[in-house]
Amino acid sequence: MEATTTVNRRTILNWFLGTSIGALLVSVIYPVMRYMTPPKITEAATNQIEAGEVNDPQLLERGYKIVRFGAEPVILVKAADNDFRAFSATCTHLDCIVGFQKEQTRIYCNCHGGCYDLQGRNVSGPPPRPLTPYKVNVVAKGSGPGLIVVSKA
Amino acid sequence: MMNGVTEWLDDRLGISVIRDIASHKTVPAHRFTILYYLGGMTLFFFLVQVCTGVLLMLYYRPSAEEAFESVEFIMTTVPFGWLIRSVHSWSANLMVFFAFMHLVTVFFMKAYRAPRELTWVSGVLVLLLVMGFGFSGYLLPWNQLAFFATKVGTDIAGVVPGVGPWMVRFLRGGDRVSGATLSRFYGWHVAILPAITCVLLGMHLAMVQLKGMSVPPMAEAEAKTRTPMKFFPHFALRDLTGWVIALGCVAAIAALFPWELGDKADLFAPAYENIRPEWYFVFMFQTLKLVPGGSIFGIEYEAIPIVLFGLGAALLIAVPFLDRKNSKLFTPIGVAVLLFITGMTCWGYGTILPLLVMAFATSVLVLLGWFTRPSGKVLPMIVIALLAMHARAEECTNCHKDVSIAKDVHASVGLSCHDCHGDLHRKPARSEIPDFCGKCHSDAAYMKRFNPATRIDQVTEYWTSRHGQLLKQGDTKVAVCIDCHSFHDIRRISQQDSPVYKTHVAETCSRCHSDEYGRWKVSVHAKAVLEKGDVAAPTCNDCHGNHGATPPGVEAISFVCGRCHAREAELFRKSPKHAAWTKHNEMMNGMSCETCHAGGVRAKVTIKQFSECLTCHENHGVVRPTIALLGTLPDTPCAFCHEGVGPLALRVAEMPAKAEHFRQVRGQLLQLAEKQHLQGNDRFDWLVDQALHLPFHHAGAEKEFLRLFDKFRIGKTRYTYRDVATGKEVSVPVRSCATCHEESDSAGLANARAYLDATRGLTSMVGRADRILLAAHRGGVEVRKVRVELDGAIDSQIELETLVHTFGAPDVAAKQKEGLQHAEAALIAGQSSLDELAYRRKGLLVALGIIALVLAALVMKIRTL
Repeated sequence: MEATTTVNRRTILNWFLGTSIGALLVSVIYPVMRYMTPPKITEAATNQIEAGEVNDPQLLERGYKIVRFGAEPVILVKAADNDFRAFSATCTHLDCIVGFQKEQTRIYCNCHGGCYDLQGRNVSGPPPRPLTPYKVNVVAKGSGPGLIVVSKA
Repeated sequence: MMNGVTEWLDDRLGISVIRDIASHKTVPAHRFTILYYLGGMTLFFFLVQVCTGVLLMLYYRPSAEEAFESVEFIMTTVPFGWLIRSVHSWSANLMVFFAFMHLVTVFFMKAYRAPRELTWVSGVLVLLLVMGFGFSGYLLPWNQLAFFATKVGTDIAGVVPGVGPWMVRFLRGGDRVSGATLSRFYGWHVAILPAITCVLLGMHLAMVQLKGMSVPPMAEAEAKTRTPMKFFPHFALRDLTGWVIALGCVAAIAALFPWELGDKADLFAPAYENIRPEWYFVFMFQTLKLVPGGSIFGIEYEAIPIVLFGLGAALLIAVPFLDRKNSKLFTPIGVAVLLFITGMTCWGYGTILPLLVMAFATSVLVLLGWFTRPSGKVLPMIVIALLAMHARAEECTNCHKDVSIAKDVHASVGLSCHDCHGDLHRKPARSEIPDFCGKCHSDAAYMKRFNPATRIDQVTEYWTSRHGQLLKQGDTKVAVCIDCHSFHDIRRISQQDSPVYKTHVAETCSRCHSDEYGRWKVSVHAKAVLEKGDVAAPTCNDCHGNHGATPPGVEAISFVCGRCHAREAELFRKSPKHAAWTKHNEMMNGMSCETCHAGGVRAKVTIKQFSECLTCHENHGVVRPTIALLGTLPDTPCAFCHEGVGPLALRVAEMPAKAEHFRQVRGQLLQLAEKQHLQGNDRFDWLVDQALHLPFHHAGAEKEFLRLFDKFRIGKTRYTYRDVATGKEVSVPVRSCATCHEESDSAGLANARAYLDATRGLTSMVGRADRILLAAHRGGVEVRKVRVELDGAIDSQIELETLVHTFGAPDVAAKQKEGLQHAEAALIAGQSSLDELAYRRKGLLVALGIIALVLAALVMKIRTL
């Protein structure tokens, strides 16, 4: 009888000690996990940007350029004279940044060979979805060359 | 299942060997056993440092451009960032404290005796590294305090003979403390020092395990009679108890007193007052401060204590090898060193707190029977630092025994009696004095010998002054050079004991102009000069000129005041009031009111000349403008902070309980005022006085509320000053619109009322936001960013106040709206700071509850062993 009480007491005590130490660990780990989760920083929303003039040498020579749309990279492609198109430059496969191959007239991702046509549709390779399109407008700027304006579709 | 896993692991890791060692390990039991926990405590804080330090690295950016901002980000934006950083800072200090305690107790217990010499050596080295951690980590937040402490700390290394300059460059990563220093200190703090510390600490701990605990000589007999304590679980559980208590303490300190962020380091700002390093360096810092400048044999005096400190550290490391025969000398030496360190720390802080801490620690030891035998004699401290000034013997002083020019500026540049008096063997007459001084002071070639930039037009200017003109007319009772500058004891004007030093000018002028002085002394300018020590604020000579002192004329006043109050003067000069007053002044030359106003004047007073700014603000008694100037006051001053106007009223509402309390207090005050038959301005003034003495405004925050009252221009409608000549208190009403204009019959007064409402609306919003931020800041929430919004609101408020000088104020509404926007943003952010504070307090309560449970469980467990 005496032995059972001691064993019982000891078990309960161990359980009490274990649980309270567990709770202590939780009260330490909780703030640490919250700390390690990066806080959300609200970025100023971008709805429209100016992407340079229509006779931008880079655009004329290579047929495309990557522009900053807020924090997002956007690919601006010159499909024909006065025909500019813009898509999100982030490959839908694994987050690489796509480029434009002038000879094959296709948007191409070097990482895993993803291919998109000039409508932004995923035509071959691993990408699962098409690229998000952006709206492009050319606005006249005085007597000089027109200004390309990219905005959210 | 469990056993299976344990066996599997044991086969591979040999856990049972460790368990075997642990189960056989014992700790000697005697009356000093408790001191064995100090090392473990230090280890605990070290582990906390490692964990929180690693966490801080996730967000910290070690560059001069980003360091402060990233720490601010941690303190304000990252969830629990304030906690992690505060724990890191507090635990660092506790670690150093316990490391010191550990060292001191080990020293007195003589635990360094063979075969534990290396344990001691590695321990002392770890302590030095810990101080290195403290020094390098102090800079990382890149705030003012850290910047200057590092500048001073690294500069000290420069005086070490020979290698000094190299050491400074090595420490700073360049010639001066800059971003390069920050990168370097970061490298030391997070990589180099931790690497070395891990090796040394590993050795230290391994050696402790290998050789076991040392039994102090005075407890050897006792230890033999008592059964040693088993390390596991007996000692380990007690150790754990201490650790949990320490965790609770550090969490509570960090939550209640979060470590301050300070201001970002400005490489070109003057150092703060009382700048000093972390407390554990203060004794060295203080010692260095006592060393006079100069050098001996090409070695700077400063180098001597530094070399001695280096030697001291070396001796400390070598203690086990010096004390081989268990010498009795070491205990008194240790006590003397301890007293020196504590004494110097007390001196450095100007408080005896360090002594109290040491006394407390010692009394704990005394309780443990430490001083069972005489501890030896305390070494006397000898202080020798007396330099006598040897004054040059003057021939003239043989007779003129009462004349001493030892402290005179002329003597300090090597001039003596003859240089001023020549062969003239008499006092110059008062009327001769300007030219007497001018003999040299108007001679450019002569003066350039002493100071090429000095002025030489003082005497010319003096003759243009009111003083000079009267002197020319034969009035010798006016001020001449010596009346302001004194004679034979003349100081440079930049010297604080000069009678014409900024803070003494008014007193000097008051010897003749006592009434003006009485008024000036209660003015806002005098407050700035005398109380705040603001030497840019005006005293007599700033408005009147010094050598060419004259009263400014009526048409010049807005230019005189406008030198500082540029915007106000500009607005005023464009206002309709200025044009009208100028016209009035011109017309009144030789005329009376009746010349124009045949049917009588509507104004309450007759003014022959409007003297621009002085018309409302007076001249010498320029009290800080308060709302009383506007002359259309609300019923109670309470309204300015606690009640908004119109639709704003709801937005400044307090929490219901507080609001109810406020209503009650105000009701009681109004009843009391009624009993005393106070009405109008008298009641308003009485309420302002009462408000400043309300317990809530008063308790511990009197200065804060004085500041707020001042900031929001809540003041009385009268002010008092003491007339120096009669010694009587004179009470003067503040001039206000109502002084001249009839309340019922003035477009200007209606204007003033509208203006007052706009100001009051903004004030109540700003006041509310300010109160909330104050509460959050006192609780330790970082409110720097929110303050920016509030400052924006206050800026708008100041601009709004300035607009009163337009006397028409078309922009008032726009300015008020701008201020309200900022104030509202501050109010919302302040509310969330308060919520954050409440969350912290609740969190702390929960954590301490859990810790209490763990402690209870541990104590019960220990008792069953």
